[in-house]
Amino acid sequence: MKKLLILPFLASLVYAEDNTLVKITDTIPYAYTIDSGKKVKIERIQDTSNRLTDDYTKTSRPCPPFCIQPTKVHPDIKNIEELEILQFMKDKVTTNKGVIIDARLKSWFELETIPSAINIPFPVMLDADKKKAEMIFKILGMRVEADGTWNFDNAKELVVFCNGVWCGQSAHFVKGLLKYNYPTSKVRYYRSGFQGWKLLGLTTVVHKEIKK
Amino acid sequence: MLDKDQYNQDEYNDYYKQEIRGAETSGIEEEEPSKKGKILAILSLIILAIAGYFGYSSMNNSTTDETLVVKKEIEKPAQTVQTVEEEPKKVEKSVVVAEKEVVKKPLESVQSVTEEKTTTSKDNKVAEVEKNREKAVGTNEKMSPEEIAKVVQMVMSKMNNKPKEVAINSTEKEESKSSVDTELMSELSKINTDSIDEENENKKLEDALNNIDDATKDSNIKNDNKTVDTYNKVKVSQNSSNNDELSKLSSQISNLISDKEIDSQGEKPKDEKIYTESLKGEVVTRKNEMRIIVVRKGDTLGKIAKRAYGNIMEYKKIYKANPDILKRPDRIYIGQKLRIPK
Repeated sequence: MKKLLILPFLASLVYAEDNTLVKITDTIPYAYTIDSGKKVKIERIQDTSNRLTDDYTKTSRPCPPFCIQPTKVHPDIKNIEELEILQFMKDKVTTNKGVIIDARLKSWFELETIPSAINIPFPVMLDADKKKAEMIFKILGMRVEADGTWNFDNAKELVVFCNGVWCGQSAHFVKGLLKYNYPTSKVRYYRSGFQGWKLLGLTTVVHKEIKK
Repeated sequence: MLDKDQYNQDEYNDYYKQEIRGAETSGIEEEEPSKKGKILAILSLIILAIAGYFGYSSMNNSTTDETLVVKKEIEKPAQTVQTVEEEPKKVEKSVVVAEKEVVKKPLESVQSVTEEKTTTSKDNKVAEVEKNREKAVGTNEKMSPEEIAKVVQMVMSKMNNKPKEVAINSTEKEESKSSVDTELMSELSKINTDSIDEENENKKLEDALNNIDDATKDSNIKNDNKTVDTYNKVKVSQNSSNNDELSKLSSQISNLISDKEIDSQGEKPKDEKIYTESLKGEVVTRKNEMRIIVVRKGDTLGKIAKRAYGNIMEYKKIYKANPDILKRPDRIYIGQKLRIPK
């Protein structure tokens, strides 16, 4: 008899699960990642009448510098899109094997960004001398061997993105990465970028100011 | 048995009616009026467009033939212009009528004047432009059926919020007289006291503009208890107390990067310098494109919309642009920073 009573309760739970109207895919209603030590639920905006209103609805910015980007940022670097990024968050970011890099300038990053992304503005990477690059790469998991060679075996996998298809900041960042031989197999390029992310109504994060 | 069936049937009917009534009062009630309004607006726009098209094409056909007849009729439009200036609401009417080439139709009293001076003053000017055009081109009553005019009148009475669009349409047709239009527009901007207020206000709000990043952050802080808002933004705090590896990595990177380094461009190649600089330009552009208005005492969304766009009905635009701040269009509070889309 108790089991019978429990059944409707379970059924209601299942129903609640299906309640997401705007899912990510037909089998994935939402996903989780970690940002600044906090678990962040990534879902899409459920208001089906919602439209973008501000920055990422703009069609025309002066080119240069805001030119349409080629599909590939480098022949050996794979492109990935939203679903792969969600998978990347689950497989790599939460297990500390990979990071998502927001290559935009700090002002953009602070305003709004993809959950779990860290900011390395592209000029930092592009202008880095060898010493600086070494410091950055060390943080990203590169090891310096006894003979001074750089060992990238444990280096983190990177997903690089910027504002979107009209934004060349990722390309500049990747240029800086490859200048010091960061393995191309460990880099991915998210070409749709932040605009693509916003366009799908996916969760974004705003970082409060860092208190020092 | 029959009686019983009959009884059941009646009961069923009653129940059915009740259910329908219930549905009417509960769920659908909120949506229906707006739908009706939209449908009405669309229908009326279509009618206007058709009437306008016929009127305009007929005008083009008749320009050469009827110039002599026109001279007699010039006096009447001139009179309407005078009345127009006395009673602003009639102006809108005359604009529409002029557009349909039914100038001689007597001006009847329209519903109560609720609209703002801004649109009416614009309409004055537009009406004058229309009169000028008529003097040059000539009026034509044959081609435009009076029925259409009547329909248009009925439609107009239901369209408080549309006359401005009509006026704009009529000015768009005045491409040949664009120089006149620009003069008028410059005059208009002088006449429009609301816009002058707006400029003053903008000066006061320069600080808010400069700190637009902070403003967006403020709006999020208000929703602290609610992690996901309509923008689907989650606020996270980057503290040194976060011990997970990603946070450490992030803070290491940000310690490594000082703001000065991003700005210093000593050894950069020239084209990259330009690239970074031009990106910064876009940040400024973006700040200027988004305007922030601080709600003052006595403000309503309608009043703000009137100041910002010259039309009370545009309040919806502001309401939609601030879903995280405004829960209801009739609830705004002093000191709220509202985003005003351009």
